[in-house]
Amino acid sequence: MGADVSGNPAGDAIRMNILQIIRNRLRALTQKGTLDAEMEEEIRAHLEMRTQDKIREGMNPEEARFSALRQFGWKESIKENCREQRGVNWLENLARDLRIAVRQMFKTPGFTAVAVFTIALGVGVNTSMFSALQAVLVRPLPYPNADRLVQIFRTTPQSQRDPHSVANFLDYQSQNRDFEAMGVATDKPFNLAEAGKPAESVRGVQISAGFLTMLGIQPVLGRLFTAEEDRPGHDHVAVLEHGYWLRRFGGDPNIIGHVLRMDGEPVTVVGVMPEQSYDIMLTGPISVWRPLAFTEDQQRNRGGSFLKCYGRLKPGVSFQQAQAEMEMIATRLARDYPDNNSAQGLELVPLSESALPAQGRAIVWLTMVLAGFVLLIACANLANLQFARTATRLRELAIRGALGAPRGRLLCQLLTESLSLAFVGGVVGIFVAHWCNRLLSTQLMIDHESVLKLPLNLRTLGFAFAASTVSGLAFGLIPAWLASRTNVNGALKQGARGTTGDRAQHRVQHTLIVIEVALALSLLAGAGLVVNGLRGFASLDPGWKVDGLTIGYLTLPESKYPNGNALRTFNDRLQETLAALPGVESATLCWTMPVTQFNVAGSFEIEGRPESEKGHSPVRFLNGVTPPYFGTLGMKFLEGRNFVPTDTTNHTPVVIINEKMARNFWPNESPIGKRVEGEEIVGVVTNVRFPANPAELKTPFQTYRPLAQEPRTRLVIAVRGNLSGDILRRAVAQLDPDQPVSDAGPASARVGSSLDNWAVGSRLLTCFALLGLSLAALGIYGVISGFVAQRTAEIGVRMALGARMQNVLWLVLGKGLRLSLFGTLIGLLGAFGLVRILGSVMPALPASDPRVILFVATLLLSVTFFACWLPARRAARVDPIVALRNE
Amino acid sequence: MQKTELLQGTLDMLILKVLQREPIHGFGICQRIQQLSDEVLSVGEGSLYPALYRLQDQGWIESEWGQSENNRRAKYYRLTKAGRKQLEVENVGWERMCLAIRQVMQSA
Repeated sequence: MGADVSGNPAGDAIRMNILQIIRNRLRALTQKGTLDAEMEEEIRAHLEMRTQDKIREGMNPEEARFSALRQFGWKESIKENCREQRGVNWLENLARDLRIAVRQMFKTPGFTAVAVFTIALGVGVNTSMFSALQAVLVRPLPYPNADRLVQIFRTTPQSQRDPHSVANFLDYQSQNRDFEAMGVATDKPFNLAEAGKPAESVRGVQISAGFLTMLGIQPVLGRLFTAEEDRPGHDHVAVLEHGYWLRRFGGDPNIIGHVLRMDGEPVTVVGVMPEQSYDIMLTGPISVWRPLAFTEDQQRNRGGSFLKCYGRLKPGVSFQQAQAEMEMIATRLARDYPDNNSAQGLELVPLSESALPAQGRAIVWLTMVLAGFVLLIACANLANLQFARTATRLRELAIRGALGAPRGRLLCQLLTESLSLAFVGGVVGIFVAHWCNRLLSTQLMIDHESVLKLPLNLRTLGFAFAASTVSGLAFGLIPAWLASRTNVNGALKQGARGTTGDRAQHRVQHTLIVIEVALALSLLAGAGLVVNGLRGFASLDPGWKVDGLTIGYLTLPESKYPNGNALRTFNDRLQETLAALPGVESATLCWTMPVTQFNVAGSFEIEGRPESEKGHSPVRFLNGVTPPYFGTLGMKFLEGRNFVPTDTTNHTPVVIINEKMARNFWPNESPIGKRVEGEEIVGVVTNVRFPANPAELKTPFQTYRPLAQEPRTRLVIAVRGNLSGDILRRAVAQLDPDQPVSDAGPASARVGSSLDNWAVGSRLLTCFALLGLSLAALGIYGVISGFVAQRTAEIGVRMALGARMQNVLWLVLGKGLRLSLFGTLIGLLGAFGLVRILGSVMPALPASDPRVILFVATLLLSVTFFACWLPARRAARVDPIVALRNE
Repeated sequence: MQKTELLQGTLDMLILKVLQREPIHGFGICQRIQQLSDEVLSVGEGSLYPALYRLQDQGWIESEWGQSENNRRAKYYRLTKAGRKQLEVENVGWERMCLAIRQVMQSA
């Protein structure tokens, strides 16, 4: 290793005396005056000694003094060089630049206001989106070592996020080595009855033993569940959610040991959860936690999949390692139990990211990107404004450059100005974000409760800071760079007659405008398509009459209705009671209503046809209904007949299928009398779609069974006739006062509340688009105004030479319109790209609707036309005499 | 008399060396380097003072006001402990470089 040829010894200084350096620099900062005075005196002493020296050599005193001065060189420059050695020069420069920046802000309050406002909007919207992104995609989990928590999904050819069966879960649990603990949960509503209070349906979760311990939760009162409480018969215990404990029981500290009647059984409260929200499934607030006791039958069941599975990795076990192990277990299960497990996989997702499926994540990311567009437009706008402003200062900059200010320093100063503007904008932006967050969290709801908390935490504030820095750099860098390389001669010469700026600058400005317009068009097109798509979706016929239908949900406790006969008796009586109510045209009971989806699905094979490959059987939605179901919902029979009471007593179970299934499997023949999974098809009805689920547009295969054939504890009541939900409650209370009806009300309200979140999204996009449009219009207005101001003299000459007002008007308008047309053309490309992405995320949207694109393009062009027309009119009214006199 | 330009980066080393014997003021450093090099090397004030301030900032030298020979207040520079070490470092580096350059120049 040879020595550095330049031999710079300072570079070798490994043993720098750091403390000494810090002391020196602090001194340089705090005692600048003293140090400068000392420097001055030192130089004076030096000069004197030199003079003395020269006098000794025989010069006369006067001559010696001048000679010494000459030899010394330019004192101020040397002093500046010395000051730079103190190592704090940059700080002093920064302070000076900041002072100048602040002075500039106050000197041009109009510009400052526009700039701060624009940045605040851009940064605010993005920060708000970022907090939403954070809250939804990477939820901060209130559990210790939450990075080791995962959710485990079962993947099938049909779905990426299927639940698990009990037997499978027990195998995962016994066969894995990489998990510290594994647990399952399933949500279940409980009917809570207390003497003197009306029955209430509360949202509950049933969890396997050790589930809460796995998460690392400590109760604030009482205890969690013990291992014994995991067995059937011992599970009559409950842990209350903190908020529910406060609301329902007034935060009673003596609640432990209190016995509640849940689903008709006595259940003892053993604990109260801590205060944080433990909504691990993001299905809305949970009120009660109960043990999940598996019966022996369940422990052998691999077909019924209803469990959500979670796990905590052992310390030091990597995510990939655990994933590999679960894949191995899945392969083993597929081999050992091909009937239920073939073509299935197991996928780990970090718990913090598992709340939203891929589609939801895509929507959130997309929204974030679109918010980014708004910020980009804001930056482009400010860059143009900054151009106009630096143009008026080119002279000053040129002179400073000529006097020896290094280009870097000028660049730094201009950048400091734009950055300080950006930071002020960012601070205001945080308020904007706060306001947006409040608005968003009150608008986005699950079951009428806003579950999304959007706090402004350190990370979001960091994001706001980063966004302002980036935008400050983005809108400051190009103008500053162009200004700092100004040709001194040119600037001084032109400066005398009002700067025209150079060509490069105009090119950049025009490019920025084109980009702004293009981005704005993409935003408008995206928003237009979503709004239009949702409106189109809402007006689609779902295949059943939503209006005039009142629905309610009922869950009967197994303890009171332990078997099919008990349920059937209750159902029959309820059906009769409902039908007899005044004002009821027809009434029905069913497993599920086609609002967002059917809750029950299953794969099937058609008898007499070759079986599908294992795991690739077609899937149909199943619903159990009483005979008046089809009439009540307004569906029509295409073939065959409705269910009759004798259907249940016959040997062969019967089903009714939908048109889609009939057409798909019996395209050229009647399906009546054919058999599916041992069931005989007796009728074909029209298709129904889910009017509240724009993500699921394809009509699925649907099969209806008689309710009496397989009565379930969870029921939906539906009656036609304009009734209030209370009537349903009273009708049920007549039969069993312990059973509450939840969410009773018009079906249209249920559909509407599910669609509301989509509507919030489309409003959000519309806001982005309008913001983008206004900013782009403002930008083009600014640039064209600048163009007119710079060329007032030229316009004056033209008019003096006989140009008419119209010519001038078109000169200016043409310039602006060329830019916006060009931007629109590029924007169309962007719009088509965006539409494709949107279409893949929200299948309900039409792939691309030319009318929407045409509409937004026209809107954009008209707005930009108006933005150009204002300055153009001003130009056309230029009085040649005034214009030339100003020259 | 012909004066030779100082090799880039060697000024710091020369200043440290000159200060090794006793504290001197800036003007004295100029003169001392000139004398010791038999008037071959001359240090301009334009590079001397920034170098002094730089060395001071690094903590290798420190300064103190004192009386000059003709009773004038002058700033005297003195080597610190860190400066002594630095001088050793630079000396070694310099020797190595001289040797290397000589080898290159003497090669056939």
